[in-house]
Amino acid sequence: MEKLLLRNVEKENSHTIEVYLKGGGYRAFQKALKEMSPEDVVEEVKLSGLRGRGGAGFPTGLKWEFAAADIKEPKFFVCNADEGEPCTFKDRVIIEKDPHALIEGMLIGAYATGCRYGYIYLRGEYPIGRKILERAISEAYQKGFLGENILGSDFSFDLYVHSGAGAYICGEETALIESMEGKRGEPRIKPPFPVNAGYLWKPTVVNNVETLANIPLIIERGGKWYSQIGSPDCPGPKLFPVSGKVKRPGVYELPMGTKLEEIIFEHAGGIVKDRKLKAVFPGGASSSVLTSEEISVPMDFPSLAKAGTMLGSGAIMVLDETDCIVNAALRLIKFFRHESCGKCTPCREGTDWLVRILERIEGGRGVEEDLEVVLSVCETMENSFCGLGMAAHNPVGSTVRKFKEEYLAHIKGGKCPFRSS
Amino acid sequence: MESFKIVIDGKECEAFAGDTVLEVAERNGIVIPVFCYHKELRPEGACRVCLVEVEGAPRLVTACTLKAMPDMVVKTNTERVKRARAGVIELILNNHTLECPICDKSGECELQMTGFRNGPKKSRYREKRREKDIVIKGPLIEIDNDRCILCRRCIRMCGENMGNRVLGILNRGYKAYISPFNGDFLEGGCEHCGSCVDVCPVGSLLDRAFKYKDRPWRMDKTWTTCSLCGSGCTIEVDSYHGKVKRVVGRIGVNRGHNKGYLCVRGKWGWDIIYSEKRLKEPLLRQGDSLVKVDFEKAVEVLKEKLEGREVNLFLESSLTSEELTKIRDVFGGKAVSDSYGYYKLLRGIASITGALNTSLFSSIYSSDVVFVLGDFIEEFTPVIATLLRLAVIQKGKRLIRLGTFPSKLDSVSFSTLLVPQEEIIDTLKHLIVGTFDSSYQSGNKEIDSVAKSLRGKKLSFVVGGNVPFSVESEEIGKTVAFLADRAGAPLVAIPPKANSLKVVELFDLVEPSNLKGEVNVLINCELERDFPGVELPSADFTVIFTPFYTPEVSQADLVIPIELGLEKRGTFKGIEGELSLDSVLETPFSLLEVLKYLPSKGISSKEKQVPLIKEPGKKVLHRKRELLLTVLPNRTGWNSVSYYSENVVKVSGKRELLLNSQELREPKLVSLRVENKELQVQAVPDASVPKGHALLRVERFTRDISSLLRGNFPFLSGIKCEILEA
Ligand SMILES: Cc1cc2nc3c(=O)[nH]c(=O)nc-3n(C[C@H](O)[C@H](O)[C@H](O)COP(=O)(O)O)c2cc1C
Ligand code: SF4
Ligand code: SF4
Ligand code: SF4
Ligand code: SF4
Ligand code: FES
Repeated sequence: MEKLLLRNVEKENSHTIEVYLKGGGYRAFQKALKEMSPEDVVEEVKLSGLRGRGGAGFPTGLKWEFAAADIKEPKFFVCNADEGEPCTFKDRVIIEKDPHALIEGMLIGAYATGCRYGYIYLRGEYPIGRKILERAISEAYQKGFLGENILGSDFSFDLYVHSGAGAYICGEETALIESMEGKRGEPRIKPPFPVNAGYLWKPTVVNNVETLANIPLIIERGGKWYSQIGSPDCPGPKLFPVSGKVKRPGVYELPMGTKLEEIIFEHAGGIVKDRKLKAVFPGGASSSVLTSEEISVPMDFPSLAKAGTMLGSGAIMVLDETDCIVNAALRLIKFFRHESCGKCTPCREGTDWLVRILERIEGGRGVEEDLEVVLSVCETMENSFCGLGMAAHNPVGSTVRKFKEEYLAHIKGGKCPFRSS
Repeated sequence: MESFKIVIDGKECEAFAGDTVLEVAERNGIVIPVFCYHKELRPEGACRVCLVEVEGAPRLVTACTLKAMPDMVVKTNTERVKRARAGVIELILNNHTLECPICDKSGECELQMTGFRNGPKKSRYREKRREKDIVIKGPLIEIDNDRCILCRRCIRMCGENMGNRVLGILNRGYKAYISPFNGDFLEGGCEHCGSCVDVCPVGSLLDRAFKYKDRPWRMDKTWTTCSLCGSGCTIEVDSYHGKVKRVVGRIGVNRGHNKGYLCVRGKWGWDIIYSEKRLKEPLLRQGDSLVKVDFEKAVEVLKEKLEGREVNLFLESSLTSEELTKIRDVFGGKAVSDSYGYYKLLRGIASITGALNTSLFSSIYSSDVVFVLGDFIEEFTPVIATLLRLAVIQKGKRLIRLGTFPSKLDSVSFSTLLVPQEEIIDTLKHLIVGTFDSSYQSGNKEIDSVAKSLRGKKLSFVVGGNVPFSVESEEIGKTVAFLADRAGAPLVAIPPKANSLKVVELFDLVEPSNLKGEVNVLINCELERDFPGVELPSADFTVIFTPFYTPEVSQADLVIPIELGLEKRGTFKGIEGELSLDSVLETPFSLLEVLKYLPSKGISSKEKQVPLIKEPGKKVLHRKRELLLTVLPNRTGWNSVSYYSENVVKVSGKRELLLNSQELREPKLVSLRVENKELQVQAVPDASVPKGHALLRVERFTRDISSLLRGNFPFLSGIKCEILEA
């Protein structure tokens, strides 16, 4: 299949504006600016069926429509580049290899929604990305794509990079906004949503890096064209970062709806040493696990939801028969315990309790009743304040349900069966 | 306002736009458990214990953040809801210390009650209890983080409602804990209002003066009125067997106009009752010394000395209305009082309105724009400043302030006009025209823009803080009353002392030089504090009624102990009408009891007449090269607490002279000169002090300050001064 999102990344010096322009860069933006009204742009994006790639899958056109309809000024356009989930490294490719696609996507979005200022909220651990983005932004200023009265129009847009300080929760859009305001990174009550009351309580669009990289394609080739790629109700190309026990880990661009099995076995080359696949977390660290019987599922938002899990960021983590499922779940929930902001009870306390129970089970000190307790803690965590806590328990609860035997083996055997000692 | 219906647990309930489901439920007697929610605070949605089921919503929703919508159907008692609540409470209890037997909150702890009602009945926790072991101790407040449930009420209370932002969270997730800025209350700017302690649902934020002192369930709880300033706060005094253990505000429950908000004086100053300086028996002069006598003897001497003599009456204004009435009856209606400056202000106002009175404080709530005139309201009447702030952040009022010095209120005000002190009256006069005439131009854009924000709005006026003590007090009163009168708006004149209004109503207040009597009678006063700059007139005999061994006791011939505010029953004429005092404490002495033995002078009450002039005031302050001095008692100062409360002394301020940082580059010792009197004082540059002004902050009015102010009574502000090299 034709590479769309990754069309530039193999080119030498793909991060420079010269290479980007030579490949047709900023044409979509100029088309939008000169030939289309902001409403036309919103319509085109709605037509494309694009859904946000940050995890929640919210229709991008609709988000823009809400923001455009709000009359408060000034408005802000924020690119969420906080990519902080374990095993998710798809945005990084765009940030480092194709930063101008991101900037162009933001420009089009800002034009469509009437935003005057833009920020790229960049993960603190991406220092190279920061340099590349800052350089790309200054190139864009030099070429007149950023600043006041861009290309002689009355559209003005200034863009800045804002580095995070290493908190995963700051990827959540309202925590991200709090952090941008210089406050402690904690999510806000919604509603109001950022599109109406975001940064400095002004209308603010927050979009993921990958979401924005799709925009120039949609404007250049049309929403209709885009909507025909991949799954009909969730179209477009998608970046899948694949990690774990596969022969060729990496980021793969494939149409939405590609079967999980195909991604693992064809694109990522199958399981290392041709072992048996045991389990897959199909949509990042907080998705529910799939067993080897369940991997024929198409990789898109609705299909995975139907399969009882989620697409999330699209990060695929593969475990083979030599991996301990309890240990895997423990690792993941430890991450969330560490990253929980602590605002709400279920997540703050639930993650810690789950870690402690799983540590005991893994260490051979579990009791059978623990499993029931785990499931009820997971249920309580469903009522967390934000998406972190609502999803953090998934890897634990789903493995207890689907790999109960393995948990029981730990409990009854008094040790982890995967450990020699 | 238009209402609509929602259904909660099958009951049709009336709801208004903006209501949360929790509020509607509460109004209808449906109890939903809460931890982070507090009536006085912005909803946080953090604890997740108030979950309810909403028809059509897949997830449970927190009632405290959920806005009621027409035809919403809510269930608060399904099995799913009960399980979810119990689940949350279980998570909190797992690592909670459960030190109930020794926890000060036990018995009124919301975790105990909510846990009892909605918690799991059995623990499933097999892990070792997690300990944070982070206890942060301030002078009066302590945080025990192992008891904290991280509801964040304290943070919102301090940061948003009080505007102090002392408290915050450090670390994250299960390691998160509450701390004052830099781990230190004083450094963090804590004003010791006690509001955080008040709203903490558990025993985490503690009143150190109460720590391990008693059990909440066995104390007598008495609602009374704080007598320590004109805010007139309603307080709950908790005592056991007649001994006070603490004072609490009960924010959100308190029915007084202060809504339970207090200041450091009201919250912690109660211990003056037990001060070592407390006077317990009458003293009578014998030669060079004072000797103890019994009450019969004291009354006998008193009667004899007063017989047929005219008295010089010095009155402090936190006496009850009943005491004041009796005092007037036996000593006559002429007095020198610490309410003299306030009287001048009211006289100015009365020249427009005809009445020596104030509008009720609550009248500001029916206006849209509140015009505040005065500086240092937060020092003189702290809770009034809090209520003004809350009027903005909770009730959406617009606040406009005119003054000379910056104030914490300015962070919530819609606009703030800061002008040199001598221009206050002129500024008001511009507003008198500009507010009603859109074509008027004052020559000052800021004034014009304030005039515009007042124009056509439903206004109310508040004057207080240092204004009663300003040399222009009466003229300012006339001018602001003229403006309020033209706008048809209420004018609230904040009394500096608890019963200033009654003193003004009952007594003919005079200049000290007008006292020509033969017997000095001082009631409840401390000469230097209440009458700075005034000398005791020479007289044949001096009687002092006082709760404490005050400095002037040594000059007295007869000293008679009296009660403190918390020991009295009676009333005040306060900012919100009549406020009542109640007490279960007993004292062996009583002012009213003693006065009973004195003959009545039989003065008939007459309505005081102030001629109606209906003219704005005239500027009094004209300044050449001098600085204008304001002497400001610290928040902890101002009344007996700063002299006799061991609690309050722990957080007391210091004496310093603040000067504009362009006029003084670095701290140094200077000589402050008023007319021919001088005071050596440490001067400190301060950007918030406007040029041409000097601010002398004092913790106590001592002899040297009183000497500096000689002849200026009742004024503390707008006094011409010079700074000389020390
Ligand atoms: C705990 C948490 C972490 C998140 N982290 C990210 C992130 O790193 N990057 C991102 O784009 N979105 C992240 N999101 C999703 C954002 O809140 C938001 O939905 C997204 O940025 C919207 O962009 P989109 O509509 O383009 O997907 C996170 C959400 C949660 C709850
Ligand atoms: S679920 Fe709660 S504790 Fe966890 S990150 Fe979100 S707000 Fe913070
Ligand atoms: S006492 Fe008042 S100022 Fe001090 S921390 Fe508590 S709320 Fe803040
Ligand atoms: S100290 Fe008290 S009020 Fe503050 S967060 Fe903890 S429990 Fe809540
Ligand atoms: S503001 Fe005044 S009345 Fe209220 S508690 Fe403080 S001193 Fe007492
Ligand atoms: S009371 Fe509603 S979330 Fe805490």
